[in-house]
Amino acid sequence: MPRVERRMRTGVRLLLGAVWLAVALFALRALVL
Amino acid sequence: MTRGLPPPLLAALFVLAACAPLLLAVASGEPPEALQAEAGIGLGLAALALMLLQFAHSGRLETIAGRIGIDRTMRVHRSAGIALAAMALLHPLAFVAPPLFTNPELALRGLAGMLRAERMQSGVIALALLLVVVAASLARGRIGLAYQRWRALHAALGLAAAAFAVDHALRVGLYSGSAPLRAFWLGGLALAGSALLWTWAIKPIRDARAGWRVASVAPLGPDYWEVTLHRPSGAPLSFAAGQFAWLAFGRRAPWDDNPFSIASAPGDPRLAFVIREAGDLTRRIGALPLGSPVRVDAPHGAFVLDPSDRRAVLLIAGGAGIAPILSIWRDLAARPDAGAVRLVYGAWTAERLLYRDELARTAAERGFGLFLRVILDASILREALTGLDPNATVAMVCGPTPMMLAVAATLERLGLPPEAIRYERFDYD
Repeated sequence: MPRVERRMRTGVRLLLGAVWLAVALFALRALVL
Repeated sequence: MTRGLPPPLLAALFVLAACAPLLLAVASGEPPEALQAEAGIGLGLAALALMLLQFAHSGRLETIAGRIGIDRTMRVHRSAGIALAAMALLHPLAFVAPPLFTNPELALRGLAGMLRAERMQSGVIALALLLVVVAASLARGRIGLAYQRWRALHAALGLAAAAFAVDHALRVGLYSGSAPLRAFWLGGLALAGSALLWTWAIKPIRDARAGWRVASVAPLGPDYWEVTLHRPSGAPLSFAAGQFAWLAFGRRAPWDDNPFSIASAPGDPRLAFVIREAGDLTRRIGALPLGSPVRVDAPHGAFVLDPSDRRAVLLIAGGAGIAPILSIWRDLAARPDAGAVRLVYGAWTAERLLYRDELARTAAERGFGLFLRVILDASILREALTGLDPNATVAMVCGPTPMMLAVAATLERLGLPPEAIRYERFDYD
């Protein structure tokens, strides 16, 4: 697969990864607060 | 002509909008519940935010797709759809998570009881609708659902799922009772509905009123037709070479249109399209009556050259992919300041190499390079790049997806940087 295509896929994964991470941090508040 | 927001801004807005309910929940000042409940709530909030965002990147809004292209837009739409379905499925499971591993029977009984409660009804309906929408999209080809029918169903069920999900959040949500989050959900739902109303009602009426009509239908080669459109005012469409239009021939439902790349150059009062006989619609192309109305939703797409780009241009077309490439070629031919331009064009048979005379004439007049081949391979690309600096060349590739990916990989091997290789896919698997 060309790098140009891989970059695009990585970009999409990073976007959605950021949302999953935000959900995890939100839940972990319960342990901290 | 809108060019859309720049990619870094869009990415930041996407993450901010998807995480906004989580931030508003934190800002509400409510003390957090137990870990599993907070995980369940967080999944629900993010899933619903992503669901509302889906209406913004449906592909028709140029503010979103204008710069990044339909390719990236639909890829985000597809991946976000799968991610939000996973979040929505995990959302109820998280609340019964601890006994799920130690006493699954108890957990499932708890889950069943929770889902049967009357106040949970809208949430259950939303989840069921969402799963139907995602499953139908992933299996569309296999279950033989026609593209246009699927699209109408996708939008209607998607909006219904979002409405039920917002109702669910407002009814049972712990944080969604707060005024800012409540306003966020209702505002988001209103925007989602407006985006659909714009795309499927207001825009089609405006596009139909533009008055485009079939001006000519001519065979170009085996299976290929050239269709040109004009409008009585003679005003050309404002677009950039390489863009495409959604066309609906005759009087058709708003969702019943197909994308075709524009083959004519900007400024030409006639819009030309290269149409290959393939699907239901395109098999009837030869019988299109002259003067019949055509709804044109255009321009779309980001497969365009930056006018200030001084690099050499390598155009590569395969089969019907010649349409946007021809538009770019014609546009460059009309510019006195065009630099080095080379075109590599391949088709299954020599008769399917369209517009050969025009291409040869322009190549001779303007000194553009022309490489016509029945089958494209690495050697022809190497030959076309001879004498050009790969670091000062931009490649525009259009054709079937496997061809575009193979060409992109070869160009990278030949030294072109990935950002100098441009293509736009119309399939998103």
